[in-house]
Amino acid sequence: MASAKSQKKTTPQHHKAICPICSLQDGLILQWSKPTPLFTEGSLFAVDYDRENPVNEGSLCPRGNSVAELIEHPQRLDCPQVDGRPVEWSEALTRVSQDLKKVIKKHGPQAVAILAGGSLGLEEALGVSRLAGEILQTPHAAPLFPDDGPVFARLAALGWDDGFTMVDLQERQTSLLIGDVFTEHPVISKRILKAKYKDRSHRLFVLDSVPTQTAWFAHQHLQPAAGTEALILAALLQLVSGGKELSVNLDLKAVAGRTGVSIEQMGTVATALSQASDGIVVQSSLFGRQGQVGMCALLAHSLTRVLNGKFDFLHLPVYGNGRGVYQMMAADGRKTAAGPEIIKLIEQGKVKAVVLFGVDPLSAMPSPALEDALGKLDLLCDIEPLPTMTTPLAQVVLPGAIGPEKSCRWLYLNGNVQDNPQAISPPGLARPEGWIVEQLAERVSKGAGFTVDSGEVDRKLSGDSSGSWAEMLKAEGKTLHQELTTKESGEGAYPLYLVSAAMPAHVGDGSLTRHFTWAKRVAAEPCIWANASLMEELNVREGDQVQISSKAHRVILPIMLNADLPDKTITAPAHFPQVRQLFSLPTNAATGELDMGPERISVSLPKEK
Amino acid sequence: MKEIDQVSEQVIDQKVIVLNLDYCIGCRSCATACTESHHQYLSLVHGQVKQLAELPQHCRHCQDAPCVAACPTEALKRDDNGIVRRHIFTCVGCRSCVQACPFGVLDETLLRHVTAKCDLCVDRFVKGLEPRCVATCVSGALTFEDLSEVWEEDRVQMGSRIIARSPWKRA
Repeated sequence: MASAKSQKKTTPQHHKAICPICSLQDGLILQWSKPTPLFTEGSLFAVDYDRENPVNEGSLCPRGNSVAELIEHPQRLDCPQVDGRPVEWSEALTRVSQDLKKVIKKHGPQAVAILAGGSLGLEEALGVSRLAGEILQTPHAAPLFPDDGPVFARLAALGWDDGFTMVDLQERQTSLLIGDVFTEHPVISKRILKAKYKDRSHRLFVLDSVPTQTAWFAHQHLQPAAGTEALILAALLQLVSGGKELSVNLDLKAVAGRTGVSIEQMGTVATALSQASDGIVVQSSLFGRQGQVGMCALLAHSLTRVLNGKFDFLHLPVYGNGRGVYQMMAADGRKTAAGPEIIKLIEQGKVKAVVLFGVDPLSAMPSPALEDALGKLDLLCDIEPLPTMTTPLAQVVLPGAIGPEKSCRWLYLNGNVQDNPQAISPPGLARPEGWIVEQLAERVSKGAGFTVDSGEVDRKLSGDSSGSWAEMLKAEGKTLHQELTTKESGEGAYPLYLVSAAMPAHVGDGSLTRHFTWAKRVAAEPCIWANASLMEELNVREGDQVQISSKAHRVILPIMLNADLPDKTITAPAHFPQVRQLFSLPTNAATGELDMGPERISVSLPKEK
Repeated sequence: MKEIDQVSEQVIDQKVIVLNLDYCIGCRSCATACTESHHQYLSLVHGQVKQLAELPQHCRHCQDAPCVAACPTEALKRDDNGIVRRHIFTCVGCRSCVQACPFGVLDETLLRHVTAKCDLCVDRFVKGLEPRCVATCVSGALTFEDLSEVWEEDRVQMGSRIIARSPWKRA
């Protein structure tokens, strides 16, 4: 692949930009400095801290600090490629449009699929949707967000909780954090910890099946058995609402028995929440962390509606503009839950041409079947700023832009539209995805393309949700009743639970994470963590290779010690496809989204060959 | 406390990195900021309390720095601002400083035949800005404060350039 060439600057410059990595959309400054006598290669391009930005006031997590490294990464894609050859844009775009037309002519428009990622701007997402709907006329176009999709599906139906500001959070009296929030989104700790230490009456609760950095700060850590977080939230909702309108009404003794969290513990938290004048419930939905993650979001959001105090629900998506892309495509009529469904169609050979806009299916939902199927497509067009697991399989690779390299708009956590100004040009021939969409539309339609304007985006975003909370709770609550009454299956063969481990360098599906120097330092290779009793049982030491088996896959990884893990719980970093492949990916029948959580596994010594 | 008096007498105008142990979430943003701005040198290590608490450990810029004493080529010197700095053209990469440092905050990795150490982001320091580890800290655990103001509160000295708020006496 062609190597990136940095923009050489001789004059020091500073440009304000938005961090393109996660949904907190922190402000930062990109700066160029004068070269020094010892280090003269390229420009000294670095990240600086924007103290004036009200979201983060300068603070950046390891990912934000690595933005300059990403932009100037030696593996940046800076020129289109067709069958491995660098080519001009006209040749690459012509090839894509011709192949798309051939597939449509032979198999029909339903043989074409488009998948969108969370780095697209709002206008770009609408452009992708229009390309699919108006030009290609394929029903198979959707964002691919295995982590956040289930939550988005519920919030899109019922209404997003908007209107708060980040600064406002540090004034709240109570916080309920679901997941390892501080590790997955470190900058939010600034607000939550200010609230915690500002007033002795502040109460911080954490709901997570394993002990974490976040849980360390909690006044009370509700630590249920892996995958039973939704039962705890349902119990809290029931205790707070008194079993009235928004409630699932479970047998609390059964919940305590199943989760391992006592009614007394749940009652303490419920009482504190009920008595608080205000608070925040924050959920971080990492792949394979919480069981029924969408249900958790529904219950947590419902909780904020029944509490007497002023409570907001804040979901922290893993992808930068994930919510914006999801809402935009949904507003344009796309079936946004269809991402996992499209992956299945690809695996089954029913899709012959795929265009990927900033999404890496082999990182997001890896499987041998998917890899095999992607390699057999008539057309695989991959549009990315950096190579991913999927890129080597693509016949056409188009170099895309990273956030600060394009002028676009993003949707912030509280529903506000945020300008993302262009601070730097993309390297070489790389182009923003919006330009690529318009070029493809024009070529496929033979000149009858389109341009997306901001007015259209604003009109589509202003639509209201009209779902009924009570009805959705009633429908989905049945799964919780079933969970309490059904004996767990497969326990004999797979007696342990695999829970994803969060890391501060983790980004989305992991494809970007693996490019960070910092991530390679923290976790260069995948591994699993287990407590001392399991290691004793297996008679292994730290670093020994063990075999981890699930219904979906089997892999051999080194085992490391985390003495604080509960029995029967293993963790592993979620940004490695070797780990993600272990998770089976059940689909929620009601929403069509993935509804996975911790996975049943077994751990054994590898069989000697 | 004689030692504190001696320090405050000599370095009354000195700014120090203050670590508030109550706020550190172990996210490693400080270490990332340091390496990304210093050509991937790691001049900021982390100490671990069990497996749940990780706390950054910086160069202390000691008054009587063992690394300065150990350096055979006088590449390390304490400047007028109290920053112990390495002069890259004199460093021969012998790693004596790495072995001499009692806090283990010097990275033994060589880049272009020289070792690295914390320079308190001197390029920012001369502009009156805080070091990058402080600027980036996501939780507010790291601050950069005047030494004279620090002694007005109840803190525990962990070296001449790093001070932590006592976790047993919360405000």
